[in-house]
Amino acid sequence: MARTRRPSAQTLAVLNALAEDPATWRYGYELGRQVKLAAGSLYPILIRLCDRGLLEATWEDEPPQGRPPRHLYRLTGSGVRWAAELAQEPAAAPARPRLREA
Amino acid sequence: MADLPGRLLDATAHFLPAARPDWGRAMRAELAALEGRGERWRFAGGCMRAAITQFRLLRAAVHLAVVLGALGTVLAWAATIGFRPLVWPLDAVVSVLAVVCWQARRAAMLGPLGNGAIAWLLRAAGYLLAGGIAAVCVSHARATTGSESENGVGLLVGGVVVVAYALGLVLVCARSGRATAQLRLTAVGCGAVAALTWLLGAVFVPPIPASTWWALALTGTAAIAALSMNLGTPRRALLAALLSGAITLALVFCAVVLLAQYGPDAVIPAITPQALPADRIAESRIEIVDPYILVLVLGGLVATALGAAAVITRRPRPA
Repeated sequence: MARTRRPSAQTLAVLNALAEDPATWRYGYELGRQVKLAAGSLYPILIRLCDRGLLEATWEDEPPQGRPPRHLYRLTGSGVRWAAELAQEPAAAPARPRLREA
Repeated sequence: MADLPGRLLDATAHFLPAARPDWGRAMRAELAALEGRGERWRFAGGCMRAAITQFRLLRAAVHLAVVLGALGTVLAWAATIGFRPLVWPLDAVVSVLAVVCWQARRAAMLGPLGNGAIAWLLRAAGYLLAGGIAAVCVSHARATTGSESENGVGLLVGGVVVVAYALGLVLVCARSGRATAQLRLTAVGCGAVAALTWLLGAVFVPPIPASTWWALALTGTAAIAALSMNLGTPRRALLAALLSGAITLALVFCAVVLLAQYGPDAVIPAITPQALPADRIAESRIEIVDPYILVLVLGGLVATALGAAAVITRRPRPA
């Protein structure tokens, strides 16, 4: 798997949240709440991870009466390995403080 | 019946590409599980933002607006050209170029260039060139003198032809295209031989023909020769003929311009009998290029046809 660029902070947050318990299926809204990402940011990340084979998705088996089944997500084997590799890499240098903040 | 956030999300799901039906369903299912009104609105708004900004819809809309805007500007300016026979070919070239530009948004259309830095630079250069042409059109739209107007027309025609050639040649070299290296070699070779024949004729049997028939006949011959060398499939034969024709016409026009500028007096035909005897050669050097503008415009048309043919005949993208 050729992957040279470090993912964005948001993608890392999603990966870390999913890697906490890779066997558990998570649903989007709950995940978004945990990593404090709105749907507009979360879904593109989930879609990209799915497209790259790092995330697998399935539908809820037994949804409550009157509610459609939700989409559930968890990391694939590749996703777990990548998340572990990223966790071992040194974090990117912090952004330079702006003049106003200095 | 769905509330407003639900309807907004339903509409958003329609904007998702056909390959993403699950994601629209997933968003709707998440919304169905939310109860707070504010939370539902925020979630539906976020999904709409994801659909618009992340699924290339916005980019496609901007791309279309840029292409149509440039097309409208150039066509409006072309309509002000006094020489009517020039307007229709120009309109045709510009319209086909716009279609090719619109199609160019397809990923990896430019085959060997893919989506790397070179592809990005090439596309950026293309947009800059197109923007430059549009800027020239706008700046000359209110020409106050005949000379300004003529310069504007010249720049417009020259710019469109250059873009047509650039697109045609890039597209015929695309990895997804049908043109093989042998096809390109034979077509360019036939075109070069035809142009060299024209040049030798002009130099050793002077002067430069005042009519373009000789150049057009050689172009046709080169196209037929290239076609006959690439009879494997009709698509390749067509590409070879068009490439050969475009090369011949471009080289002949360049040869005329160079001979008119730097050639010996012997190759310059006396086509300005009304000029003073002392100025006849100098005037004829300027005037001899005019008939060959037809060759330049035809070259632009053939190059445009080449680009369009390369797009139409390309291999389908793998699923």
